[in-house]
Parts: sequence; structure tokens; C-alpha cells
Amino acid sequence: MLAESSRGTARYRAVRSLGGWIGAAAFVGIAVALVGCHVDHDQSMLHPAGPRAERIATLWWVLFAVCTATFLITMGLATVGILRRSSTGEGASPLGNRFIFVSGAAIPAVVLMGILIASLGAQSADAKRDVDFTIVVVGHQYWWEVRYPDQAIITANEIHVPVGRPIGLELSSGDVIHSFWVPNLAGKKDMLPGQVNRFWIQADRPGIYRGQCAEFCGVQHAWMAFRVVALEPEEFDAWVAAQAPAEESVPAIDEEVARGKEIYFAAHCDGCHAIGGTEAEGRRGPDLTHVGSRLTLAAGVLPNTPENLAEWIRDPQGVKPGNLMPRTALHPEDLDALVRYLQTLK
Amino acid sequence: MTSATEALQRPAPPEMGPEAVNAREPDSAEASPAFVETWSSPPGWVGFFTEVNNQPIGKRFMATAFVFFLLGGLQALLMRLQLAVPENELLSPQFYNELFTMHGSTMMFLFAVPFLEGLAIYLLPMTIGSRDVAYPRLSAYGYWVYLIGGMVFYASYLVGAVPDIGWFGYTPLSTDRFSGISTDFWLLGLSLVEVAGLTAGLEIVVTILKFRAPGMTLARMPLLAWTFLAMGLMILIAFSVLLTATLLLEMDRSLGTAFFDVTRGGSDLLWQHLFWFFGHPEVYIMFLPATGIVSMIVPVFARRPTVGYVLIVSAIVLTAFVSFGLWVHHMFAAGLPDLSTAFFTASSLMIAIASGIQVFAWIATLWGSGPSLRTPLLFVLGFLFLFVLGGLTGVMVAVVPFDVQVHDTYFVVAHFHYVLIGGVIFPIFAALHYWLPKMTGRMLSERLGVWTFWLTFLGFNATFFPMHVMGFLGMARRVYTYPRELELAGYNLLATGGALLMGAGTLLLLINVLVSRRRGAPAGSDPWNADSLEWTIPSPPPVFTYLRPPSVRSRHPLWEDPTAASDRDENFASARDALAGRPVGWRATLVTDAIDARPQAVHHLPGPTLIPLIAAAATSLTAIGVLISAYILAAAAALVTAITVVLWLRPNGETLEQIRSSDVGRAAGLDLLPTGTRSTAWWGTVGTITIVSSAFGALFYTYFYLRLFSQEWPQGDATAPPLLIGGIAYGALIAGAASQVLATRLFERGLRRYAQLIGVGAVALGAVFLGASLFDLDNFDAAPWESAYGSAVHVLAFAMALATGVGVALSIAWQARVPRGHESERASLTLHAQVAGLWWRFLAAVGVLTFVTLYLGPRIG
Repeated sequence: MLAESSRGTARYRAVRSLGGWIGAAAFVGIAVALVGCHVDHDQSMLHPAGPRAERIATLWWVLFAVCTATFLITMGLATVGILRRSSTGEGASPLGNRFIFVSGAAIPAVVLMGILIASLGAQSADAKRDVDFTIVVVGHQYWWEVRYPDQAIITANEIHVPVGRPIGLELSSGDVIHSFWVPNLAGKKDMLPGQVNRFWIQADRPGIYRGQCAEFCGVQHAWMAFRVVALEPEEFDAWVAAQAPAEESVPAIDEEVARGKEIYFAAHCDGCHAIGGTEAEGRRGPDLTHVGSRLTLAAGVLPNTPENLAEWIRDPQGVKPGNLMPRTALHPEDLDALVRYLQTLK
Repeated sequence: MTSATEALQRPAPPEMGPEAVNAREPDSAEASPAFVETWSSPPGWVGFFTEVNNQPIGKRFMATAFVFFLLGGLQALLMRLQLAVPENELLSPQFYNELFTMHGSTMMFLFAVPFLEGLAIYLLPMTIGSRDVAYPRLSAYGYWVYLIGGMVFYASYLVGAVPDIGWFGYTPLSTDRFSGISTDFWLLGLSLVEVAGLTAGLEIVVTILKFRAPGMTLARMPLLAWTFLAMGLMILIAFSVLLTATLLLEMDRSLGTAFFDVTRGGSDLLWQHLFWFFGHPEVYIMFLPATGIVSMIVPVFARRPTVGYVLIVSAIVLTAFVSFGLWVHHMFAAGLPDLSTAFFTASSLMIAIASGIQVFAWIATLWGSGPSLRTPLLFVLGFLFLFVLGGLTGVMVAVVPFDVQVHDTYFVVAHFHYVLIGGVIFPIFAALHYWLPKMTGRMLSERLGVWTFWLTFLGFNATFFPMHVMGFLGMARRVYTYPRELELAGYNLLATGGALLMGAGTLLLLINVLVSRRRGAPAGSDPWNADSLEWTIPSPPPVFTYLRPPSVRSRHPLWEDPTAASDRDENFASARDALAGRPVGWRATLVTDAIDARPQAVHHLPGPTLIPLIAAAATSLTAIGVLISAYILAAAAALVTAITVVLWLRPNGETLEQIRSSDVGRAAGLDLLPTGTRSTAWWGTVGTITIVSSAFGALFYTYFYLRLFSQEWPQGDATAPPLLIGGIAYGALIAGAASQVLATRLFERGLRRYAQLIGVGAVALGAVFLGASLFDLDNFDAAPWESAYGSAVHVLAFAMALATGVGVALSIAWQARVPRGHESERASLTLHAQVAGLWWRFLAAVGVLTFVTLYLGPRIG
């Protein structure tokens, strides 16, 4: 079947195939260019905002350069080898074991040794270090419990840190395995039940950095997000001061708010959600002591607005199907009052 | 022989080919009707259910796997539709999570590995010059178990409890606390498929070692056989660990043991270690045979021998070994010590060197050969492009600091699809275009083939290349949707478009395959001017494959120059003549030496039988019984399985007599009833021992892993078990092993009476062990559901008792057969004694380790 007649078209086919390879290479180039253009995202590892992510981004560009060169050289060799019809085409290959050994083993070994050294270097630079203070983060299906033992603060789905300081994290889980990941600041670390994994992050620029669970943890794994809010030190101190548990003395602004608080207990919200300074001490869901000041609701699903909060309380399974919060049937007026009350908890 | 000198011996391409071989070896005589009858299956449904021949079984494996491939592809397309735009509500989160769980599990367990196993079962015998595989009934059994296992898997859709925990099944999400019966479907369906995988692994290894054509020394073996040999050995070890792990998890779920329950001293990371100890080699179990396919196609299209054969074989062996030292690189974010992760970085980089050698060997082979770019080669070149790219991103993710950033993001999704689709499915597509003409006798359409290639290749890159970028931009894995604000929409839409192109490519391939069966151009025996043995026989091949066993003198037998044959080259004519068109009335093939492939024996192969189907149904019913919590049914089915296996293995006196009285091969000095290393039974026993050893290894690992990470050991109120009874039990076990080994020796020397007398010791001492060791479990003072320690010691002790029970049963059966054994059963009895001897040796070795673990484990350190 592969007689002389079909050989005539071989070169034509080869050229056509070359076109495909060039197209593919161009495609690679374009896609890579896109990476360059799109570094300004709030969950991009190529847009580092702290020393750990910075180191990884640098490491990536080194790896990218080395691997791209390797890829192009290998594909170039393959293309030349296929297109070039040597005079000895009919017979033994002009290339032998030495070529294979040098290009397939010896040179890669040297390159890989370099990569190994770079890897170990970056790894040791990232090793544990003295931290300013430690935050405990516990993963739950599908939200984040955040505790500041030193500052006696309990919050959820948002981690406030001062910029320029290494902050320790003690990561664990209340149910299944989750993974803590804020790409702008650092790589990820798993959160396992019955085990504490230590980690540290540092933000060098003030800003809000998005993070999300990176280990599949159940039906709403996709919407288990959080924010790291990096503040200037004095702003951070102000935030800490504002987080002091509200006293019972916090006055109800008006009657509707007072009614909203009654509804909170009447509808058994307190069974799962604690509010500092009140009798609500449930711990199954996020602490709501300062829910009014949060950026998002339902671990990143909705921006924190009164309308969204009402929607979330009315139909949590519609907003985030499969999450553990039950639907609460309330009169529209009662719902409004409840939302108003919660919004005052800043 | 170096490749250069081989090349010099090779004549110009137009002269080589089957004509030359046939001219050289005028043995293409007509098969006698009686011979054809010997190899034929009964017609109709009876034939369908009793089939054991490698060709139909191999085809069934591949066809079934391809159906699962289409299902898995459909699931992928649905996922891509859901992800096409951000915050899409096309599919529910639950349905999406089921899709990716089923997609991953289907592609890994129900498609890639079974397809390659089917290819091996179908093709290997032809390529190495045999008439069938080593254990035809076992491959039929494996097929049925695989089919039923796959159906159990998908039955979850019928009852609306579809697995949704991911293909990796991490605990505690997969424990009974967080998931229902859907996970049992996953675990038990998987267990069945693993059993099928193990049988295929055993099949492949022994077929390659014992059924090679005379003259096909290990150094002349086609590279495809080398890769399948590596694959088979890796399956024996890796699948066994996975099977053990899935059984432990199922025990946690249904019997209440505590292996993976941290509140009772278990460990979630233990599951990850066990799973990835299987999971990483699994990648190479699929990838190595794919490279074997590439290594078969490249020299044929380059029209010259492979350059760097020895280097490629070294790379295969290196890959197989190192792949067992990589598993932790899936766990870099799990919180393990830096030192251990650094070790796994180094070993992961090492595997890149093995791949580099293969890649450059193919480039060297193609260099300047002006290959004709027909579909099989196009897919091979596509493979080269995609695999090198995926391999390089693999080097990147071996770097711990980088990996913890991209781990569980779409960057990794991109990486492993480049490696698995580029590195495995492209070669499989190449293989289909290359070998289907052999299977069907008809060529595939070249035009459709080229279209398939470009659609698949471009579609693939459009789908998966953008995923690297998505990972960088923060798209996590296993999410049913992603927020608008991450600006991932464009990339995702492109990926979905590409997926549709790939789907179209696959559809085209399907059309090409179906249409060519009717309308394809006749392929003839050797459409590619290829070099390997399967191209000497007609297309499609006769059911007996080879009328007269072939022999080889080089790595590329069809390219041998008959005039260059030196006097030192043998063609083993007498052994091959002995089997030319014979025997009649019973199926047989030639057994050769595992290393230098000298003819040793004529091997009897079983004909059509229902036994594999019955055994498979009983095995499956055991799993189904556990699935629906009908434990009595499960126990009964397990008993039926055991009885069926005994009936299966029991030698048939009539057959033995038929073989013994035959004159086939006697003149050529071939054994008719081989024993020891000349028999497949011996090798099968060694293979089974490998599987069981690997399972015990996983149990020892479990025990010591739990101990290492436990605050107290033994856990709870338990105290270290007293040594006395344990010492007696394990002492008896070792003495029992000694008596069976001695009895085997004596029997081999013809001392039947003494052998029998000494052999009684094995039975008696084995019984002492069983009694004492199970009685002593009370002294461990830890119930299996109390703590992980209790679970570990009970499972280990029961496993040891089960293995010993098998040994005792082997010895009792032998004792029962010896007195009645006529002289005609001598060889069969010798083999039986040898098998028992091997098994008892294994019992002694694993018994020492079990004793150390159970009795000294709580005391040392």
C-alpha cells in the first residue's frame, strides 16, 4: 500500500502538517500573550500581593522560560527530522544511541537539576517563620470560621490582616477536608479534621483578595469563597477595636430593629448563629456579631445588601442549593425587620 | 545486535513483507477441518456465553470500553456546556458533581485500562507468536466481572444515587457520615473492575513470559510487549493496593471499622496515601502501553528499525519502578514534612528523563526517513506534541512551591488531560487506525482518518490549552460554576467550543469504524509493510491465530533477510512442525523459556466453558450483596465463588489422559504436561502471590502508618498482646510451611509415600495456626470497631487466616488426590504439590512479617 505512488504526496502532506504545527505554535504564543494581559485579577497567582505568591510567580516565569525553550527545541527537532529526507532515507537513521542519550537524558538531567535546586530554594525560603499573631481558620461545609484568639474576635468568611506583617494561620476542619487558598498571597494548604496545619500569609499591599476552597468538599464546594482584607496597620487596629463584642447596651435604633431582634430568636436563628452580647450562642453557622459589615453573604455568593440578605434568608436553597441553612418562612414585614436588625450589626 | 547492524541486514522495503516470509516458510497450508473445529466456539448464545478465546474476549473488552468512553465523553460535554458561561444554571450542582465523579471514574477505570487490557488480550498473542493467552478462562472471567462491575457503577443512575465524591473518594467525604449508598456503588463497582484488572494483569504477564515465539528472546521482544509486561506487573502491585484500600473503606462504611475515622484513631491521610500509591502508577499503567503502541508504529512508517531499543526498554523499566515513588506529589498541599515532599520532587523529575529518552528515540527513528503521514502516524505525531507539552507541565507541578499554587486548579486539569488524552488516547486512536484492518480485514478511510485527527487535535488544544490560563486566574477544580468577577468567561467558552470539536472528531472515528467494516478496502495480511508477527497472518486472523507457530531471529521478524540467516540462527523447525495444524481435539500452544524463548512444552488450553461466567456472576453477587446490605446473600455468593474456583482449578482426568496419550510434540522433545517453571500454573501462582503480597503490604503500611501518627499505641485501653499463643501459632505456621515444602521436594523425587506422610504436617500445623491465631485475637483487647488499632489487627489477622486457609485447602486437596492418583496424573500431582509449596513459602514469609507487626509492633520503639 505504501508503494512509490503514495510517496509522492508525502512531502505535500508533510508541508500541510507543518502548517498545522505552526498554527498550533502560534496558538500557544497567543494564549501565552493572554496570560500577560490578564494579570489584574483579584484571584490570580500571577498578580502577587505578598512575598510568598511573589516567589511562586517568579519561579513560574523561570519554569515557563525553561519549559518553553525545551518544547520549541524538541518540536523543532521533530519537525526538521520529519520534513528532511536525508540521502540515506532508505536505511539506518543517521542518529543513534548517543543522540538519544545526550538529548533525552543528559541535557534534561542538567536542566532538571537546576529546577530541583530552584524548587528547594523556594521551598526553604517559604519555611515557617516568626509571625505577628495567629488566626485560627476552620473550614465548614461551605463557609469559613475565623477566630483571632489574641484579639478575642470571632468572624466568618473574611480575614482581616495588617499589611507587611507575616500572619500565622492554624488551619483545620469541622467536617470534611477543605483547602485554604488565596492565590494573590500564597499557595494552598489543606484543612483536615482532627489535625492542625500551620501556614502563614503576608500581604504587602492593602487590598481585598479573594480566596476559595480548593479541595472538593461537597455539593457547594464551588461557592465556598472568602476574602482577605489587608489593611494599613492603623486601620487594622481600628478594625480590631470595632470588633469588640457588642454589649447588650447597643441601643435599638428604632422599633422595627427591636422587632427584628425578637424575630431573630423567635425564628430560631440563634440555634445556629451566635451574636456577641446577646443570648444567641449557636455555632453551627457563621457568627453574625458583625454581619452588617461583611462584604459578601453565603461565603461569597452575594454582595452584602439588604435585598440580598432578605433573599438569602427567604430562600437559602435557591441561592446556594445544598448548603446547610434551612429555609425560614417569615412574613415579608418580619423579614424586613430581621434584615434591618442584622444590617445594624456592624 | 545493535540496531545499525540490524538495519544493514534488512533489504529494501519493497522486497520485505509477508510474501518473503511465506516464501521462506512454506507452511501456509490449509488448516484441517478438525483443527478449525477444535478452535471454534459453539454457535449461537451458548457460544457467546462460553467463549474463552482471546480474540473475541479481547474485542469485547475493547468494544465495551469504547462504549464507556462515549459515556465518559458525553459527561465531559455536559460539564463543558455547564461551564461555558459563568454562574450558569443549566445543571444543578449535585448533577454536575455526579458528572465529574463519573467522568473521571469512567475514563480511568472503565475505559483506559480495560481498553488497553483488551488490546493486550487480543493483540499480544499475535504479536508474540502464540495462539491464545495463558489463561483463556481467566480473561473471560475478567471480562464478565468488568462488564458487571461497570453496570453496577451505572446502575446508580437508575436508582438515583449517583456517586458524587470525585474519582479519588477522599475520606471523610466518602465515609458513611457524609455520603450514602452512592459511594457504595462507587466502591463496589470499582472493586469488581479492580478484580478484572488484576486478572488481566496476571494474564498479560504470564502470556508474555511463557507464550513467546521460539527465538523471541527478551532482547528481541517487540516494544509493545515490553510495555505490556511493565503494565501487567504494575497492575499486580498497584491494583492490589487499591482493592485493599477500597475494601478497608467499605468495611468502615458497612461494618463500622475505624481506619479512616480520626475520632477513633484512624486517619484521613492514610486513604490519600493508599489511593495515590495506586493512583500514580495508574497513570503509567495507561501511559506505558500507549508508548508501546507508538514504538510499534514509528519504525513501520520510518521503514527502519527502532533506534535505541535498549534505551527505550531501560526507560520503560525505569518508569515502572519510579512510578511507585511518586505518589506524594498529589499531596503537596496536605501538610506533610518538607523533607519528604522534596524527595518526591526529585523522583518526579527523574521520570521526566525516562520520558525524554523515549521521545528522542522516536525522533531519531523518524529522522530523515521521509515518513508517509497517514492517519496512524498523524496521531503519533499529535501524541508527541501533546505529550511533550503535558510532560513539561508535569515537570512544573513536581516543583512543590509552584504545585501548591496550581494544585486543584484548572492548570492541573489541563496538565493531566494533555498527558492522558495526548499521551494515551491519541496513541489508542493511532492503534485503532493501525490495527483495525488486522481485526476486520478492511482498511479505514484515510480521508475520514485525517479529518478525525485534525478535529481531535485542534479541538483538544482549544479545549485544554486555555485551561492553563484559567488555573492562573484562579479557577479551582471540581466547581460547577465560577463567579463572573474572575473574568474567566472567554476562556471557558473557547474550551467548550473545542470540546464540541473533539466530540465531532470522535463521532467521525465511530462512523469510520462502522462504515469501513462493510465498505473498507480489503486490507490484506500486511497493509503497512510492517515488521511484527501479527502481519504474517490473514486479516481478520483465524481463530487459532497461527496454524504453525512462527519463530523469529530478530526484533523485526518480517524485515529479516532470509539470505542473511547464519548457521547460528535456529528456526526451531521440529518444535513448530509438531504443532503445525495440531493437536486436534484439544487446543494447545507452544510454551517457551521466559528469557531465551527456547521451546519447552506443548501447553493445553481450555475450550468453551460456562465456568468463567458462573464465577463472575457469583463474584459480582458478593459485591452486590454488600451493596444492598444483604450480607447473607453476599456470604453465600462468596461461597459459591470459592466452590466454582475449586471446580475450575480441579484437573480433569479425561483431559489429562487425552493429553498424555497424544503424540504431539513428543518427537520434538516437548513436555506435554509441563511442571515447575515450564508450566503456566507455576507462574500464575507466583503472580497471585505477588498480588496477595501487595495487599498484605498495604495492610502492614496501614498498621504502621496509624501507629506512627497515633498518640498512643495500642490505642484505647488495649495492651500489647501476650507473646505465648502468638508465638505458638506462628511457629506452627512456619513448621507447616517447612513440611509442605519438604513434601513437594520428596514428591518431585518420586518418594510418594514419604511426601504424603510429611505433607500431613502442613495440614495439621495449618489447623493449629488457624485455631491459635483466631483464638488469640481476644487477647488483643481491642474490638475492630473500638479503634483503628482494633480494626487493623483484626483485618490483618483475618487476612492471614484466609491466606492460610487457602494453603491448608491446597494441601488437603493434594493429600486427597495422591492415593487415587494414577501414573497418568503424576505430572498434575507434581504441579499441585509445587503450587502448594510456593504458597506455603509465601505463608511463612508473610507470617513472619505479620507476627512482627501484630505482636512486636506494640512493643518496639
